[in-house]
Amino acid sequence: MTDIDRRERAASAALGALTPDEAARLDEELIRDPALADEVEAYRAAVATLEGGVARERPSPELFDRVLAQIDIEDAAVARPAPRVQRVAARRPRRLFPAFAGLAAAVAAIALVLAVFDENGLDGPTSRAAIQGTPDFAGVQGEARLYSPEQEDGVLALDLSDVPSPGPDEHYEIWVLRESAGDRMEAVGTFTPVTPEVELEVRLPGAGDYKAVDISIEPNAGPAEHSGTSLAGGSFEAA
Amino acid sequence: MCRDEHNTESRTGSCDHPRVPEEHDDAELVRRIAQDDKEALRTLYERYGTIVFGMTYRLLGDRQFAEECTQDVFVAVWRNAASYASERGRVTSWLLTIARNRAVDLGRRRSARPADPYAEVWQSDESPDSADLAVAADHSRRVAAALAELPAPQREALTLAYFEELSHDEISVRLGLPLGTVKGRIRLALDRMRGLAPKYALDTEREL
Repeated sequence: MTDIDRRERAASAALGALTPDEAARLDEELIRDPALADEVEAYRAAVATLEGGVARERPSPELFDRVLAQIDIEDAAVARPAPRVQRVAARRPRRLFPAFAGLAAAVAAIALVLAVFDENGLDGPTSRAAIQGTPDFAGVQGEARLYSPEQEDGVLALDLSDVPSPGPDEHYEIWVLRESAGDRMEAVGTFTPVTPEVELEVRLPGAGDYKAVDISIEPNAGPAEHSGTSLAGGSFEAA
Repeated sequence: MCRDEHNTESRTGSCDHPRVPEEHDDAELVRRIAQDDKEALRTLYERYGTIVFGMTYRLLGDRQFAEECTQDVFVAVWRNAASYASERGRVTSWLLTIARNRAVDLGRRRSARPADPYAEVWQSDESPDSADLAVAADHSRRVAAALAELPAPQREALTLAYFEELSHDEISVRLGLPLGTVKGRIRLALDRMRGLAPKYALDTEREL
């Protein structure tokens, strides 16, 4: 066996690419051949380094198609005015929040609306809040509505007007305050508007007696907590 | 004559299989992406999508979040291709930095929101603490960068062996190459990874 052959077997062993018979033969040789054992260990270290940084997993075959679909959705959202939001169907939450995380970077709010909502609906809102911009953003106005907040799959709908574009490294984040959470605001989603008129719906964090909604200005790379700077907000009243 | 085909000590990858594009046209791909060429984006994804996914999966510990993150990365490449400047570094460095930043951002959101409406989802996953995530992300980015720097034929063979866990025979069939060539390329790829360890500050002994 040549040196190259030995090293190829050692590399294959480190990757776990030997057949069971080949592996058994190699194990016997390793007992008699310390140099070969060292070679295998060196390759195993390289593979371990690889495994420490890059998981031994493959993406789904359709992932690139989803990349193209997201591009198309975003392009469509930019190219046309936001449609009226349809009523909301229950969705598994696992899909919803990562979508918002993506939105935080650059995606228009309407993309989420297009992706998440369908024609099946809920009843009318139980509470409404008049949204008013903070002094620095006094032009921002709108309305927030709560649908089925007493249920686990309740929804917050927001219609906003005169929303300025956030800074180049900023996005907006939506927070709600409910009785059971004390003074703690709960984040429910982020968005970056593509037009001053924004319509979106987000799932509430759970059943509760919701008191207020707030829209904050957040740095893209900032901490998860509320930045302390609000764009607008309002208090809920029974509809 | 192709030295690689004869399993010599060649590390140049000079006998690239004709189906495998050369590294140096990554920048050309990005230039085409900036001109709205989706086939160029597809080619870039085919080259590095698995590496980006593997990196984000390692950091986020969840297939779905890793796919969301990988999706965001390539959409970001599409949106920002015009801003890529080849004089500032390799395409892979740019791409993997985007991936690193996206993964850190998503990971921090996951780990820092106990009041999150879907907290039970986050807590069910084994993700690193926010404080450690940036360090882990930098390590992953370096490992991925070393992997991305392999000559294309070696990277292709190693990717099939590592990510797809194909046997040498299966890789041989998949690539239409002699078995000895496949073994040689995989061995050369691991040799190269060992050689790149100092450049990317990878301690190959530490993991043992």
